[in-house]
Amino acid sequence: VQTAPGWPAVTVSQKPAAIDWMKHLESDSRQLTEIGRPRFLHTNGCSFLLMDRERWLDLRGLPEADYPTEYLYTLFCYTAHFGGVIEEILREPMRISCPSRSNPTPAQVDEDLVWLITQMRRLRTPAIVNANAWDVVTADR
Amino acid sequence: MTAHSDSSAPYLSVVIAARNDNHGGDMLVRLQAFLDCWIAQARRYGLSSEIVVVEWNPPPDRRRLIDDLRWPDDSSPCEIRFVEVPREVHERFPHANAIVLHQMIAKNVGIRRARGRFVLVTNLDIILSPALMQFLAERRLEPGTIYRLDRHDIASNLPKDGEVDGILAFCESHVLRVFAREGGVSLDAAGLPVPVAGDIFAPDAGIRLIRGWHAIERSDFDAYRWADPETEFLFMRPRNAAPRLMLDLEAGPSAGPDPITLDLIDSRGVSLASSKLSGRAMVRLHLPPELSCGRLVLRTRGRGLPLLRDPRILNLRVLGMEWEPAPEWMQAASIPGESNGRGEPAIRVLSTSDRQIQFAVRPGPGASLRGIDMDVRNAAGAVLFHASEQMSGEEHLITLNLSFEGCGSDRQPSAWLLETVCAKPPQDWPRSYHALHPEALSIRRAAYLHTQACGDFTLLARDDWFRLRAYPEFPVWPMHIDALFCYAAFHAGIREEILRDPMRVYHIEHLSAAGWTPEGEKARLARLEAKGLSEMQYSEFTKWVNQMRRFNAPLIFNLGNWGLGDEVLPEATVPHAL
Repeated sequence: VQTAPGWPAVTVSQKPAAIDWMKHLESDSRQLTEIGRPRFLHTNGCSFLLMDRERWLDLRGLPEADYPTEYLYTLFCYTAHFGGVIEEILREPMRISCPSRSNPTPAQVDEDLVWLITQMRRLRTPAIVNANAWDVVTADR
Repeated sequence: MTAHSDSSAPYLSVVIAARNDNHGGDMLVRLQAFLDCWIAQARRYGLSSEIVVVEWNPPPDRRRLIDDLRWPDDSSPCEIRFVEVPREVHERFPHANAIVLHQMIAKNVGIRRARGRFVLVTNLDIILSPALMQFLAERRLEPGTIYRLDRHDIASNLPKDGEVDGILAFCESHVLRVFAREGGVSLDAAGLPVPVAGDIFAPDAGIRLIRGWHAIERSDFDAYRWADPETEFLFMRPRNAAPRLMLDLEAGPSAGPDPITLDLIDSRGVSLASSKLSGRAMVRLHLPPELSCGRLVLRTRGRGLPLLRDPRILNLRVLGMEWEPAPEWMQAASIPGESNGRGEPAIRVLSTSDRQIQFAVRPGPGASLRGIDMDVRNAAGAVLFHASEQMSGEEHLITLNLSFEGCGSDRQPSAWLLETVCAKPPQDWPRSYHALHPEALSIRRAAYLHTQACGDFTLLARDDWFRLRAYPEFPVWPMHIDALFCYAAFHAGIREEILRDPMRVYHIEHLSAAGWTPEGEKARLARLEAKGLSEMQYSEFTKWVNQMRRFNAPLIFNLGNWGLGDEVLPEATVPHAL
């Protein structure tokens, strides 16, 4: 480990690992190899998404599906990522403000969504939900 | 320019992918048969078409396909185009050394460049039956529809002379197996599906399953077949069988908590009998006694709820089909084996019909009849009435007419009846492999599509292919990818239409390591493992289907440049008249 002068990092003692991750993930080794080193995107508060118009058309806009809205935003972010879009997180003092809800709903883990993101990572492919004709003429021809 | 605005565009484009590497053995022979049969039949039926051959990553030491094939002097009204994907383009894809032809991407290249109003995607070893070619030529195809049909595998020893009518006749008479929606089945010499060992009926039951029956499955206790919404079977009632077929039936998980409705239909589509079924039960099918053989359809209506681990919709399973034995007196050819004793007259049943039994009483040799006493008893053995008659002479004919009192219906009585005899312990579906999808009740649209051998025949309007951006271009071995496209089409609102016999596609058998056959599956998997390739597992395919069902929307995996849309690819054309 390289450290700055005056900031030494010292291993004090070894403790047994709570989980043997290598063994735990052994059965998924092929998938993990395919996935490589995936990006973890900023999908919290996805109500701010800004992208060039051509990309929006190519990705066919936000998913129009029977699915909770918060998950659709997350799905779209990963779809855009695997569609070749680069994520840039704008930093302070650039902000968006939203009135706080009195009882914010805690985010739930949706197994289907996790699976979809895993497959996109594995196949390195976007998953577009819309097949409406609104973009066909402009984007596909 | 779109295909619609181009007046010179063909009605139908046919897309295949190939490279001159003798894939599967005798590749050029099979490709030549495909081309010859298409071109000749297109001319015969006046089908305006083009064949787009996508030649992917041509081997450097072999000639181009166009140079190794025979062409007619005049192929009109069919145009033949070769689109080449050069090695340099191929090498940009993952696994370029292990997968020499990216089948799905190659087909997308052809779809992208097709000019027809409709596009059929197929393979190089497929021959279409005359009825199918005629149907295509009639221009009855509709946008918003995905056309599919069964694949008939035929022997590889095609007639040597290559004459088209000879090949077509060979196809019709040399079918080895059929891949229908419900699975693949081998056929016998009569063209009927071959029963398997330990089937749901005994080998001597005189029953043959025709269509709609899924492959036999076995649990620790039972063998069973899932039944499609319509199943068809033939029967030839054995001599020792009563006209009553006992069916061991169970409502499947897709029925949910509701009963299913069973309808028995004859070959003219007339409903013969109906019944409701909940759980598992023995159901007795009564047939007219005079009927010894026939063809019946069992139609099942249930809620059709989707499952978690199986894309099929499973409303009914059949665990057994068994004839009830006839009483001995009905089994006798002429004289029943049982009589009251030596010298007493023998009784021969002459006929039974809905409400009448006729029998003859014949005295023994040298004897004569003086009188007859007859008792009619109920099930408890109590005598309902007694009759006696004095008589003389030889054989005596007795007719027993039955009539019943009832109310509520003026309908003609029918001998057909589906009667629930007794309930049996049902399967606990929620705790089984075939549990419902957790969101099953809120999923609005779920269907089990005909995806068997769909790489050999998938036909849509060109605009629909474009709307769906064609096949997913996954960098894996192309297993289930074409089937995934079918589900994307369905969840984009496209209607599935299955074309029926005599419309057929014939697939010429080839080496088992190339493409999927039941026999070659083990070798195929070993080959993939050796190359370090992965493929989409069936369980993953099911999950993708479930996602689409839950979204009530398709999943599309390509961007707008699908089918190498950004590339200008070299193209060669076989002139109409050489």
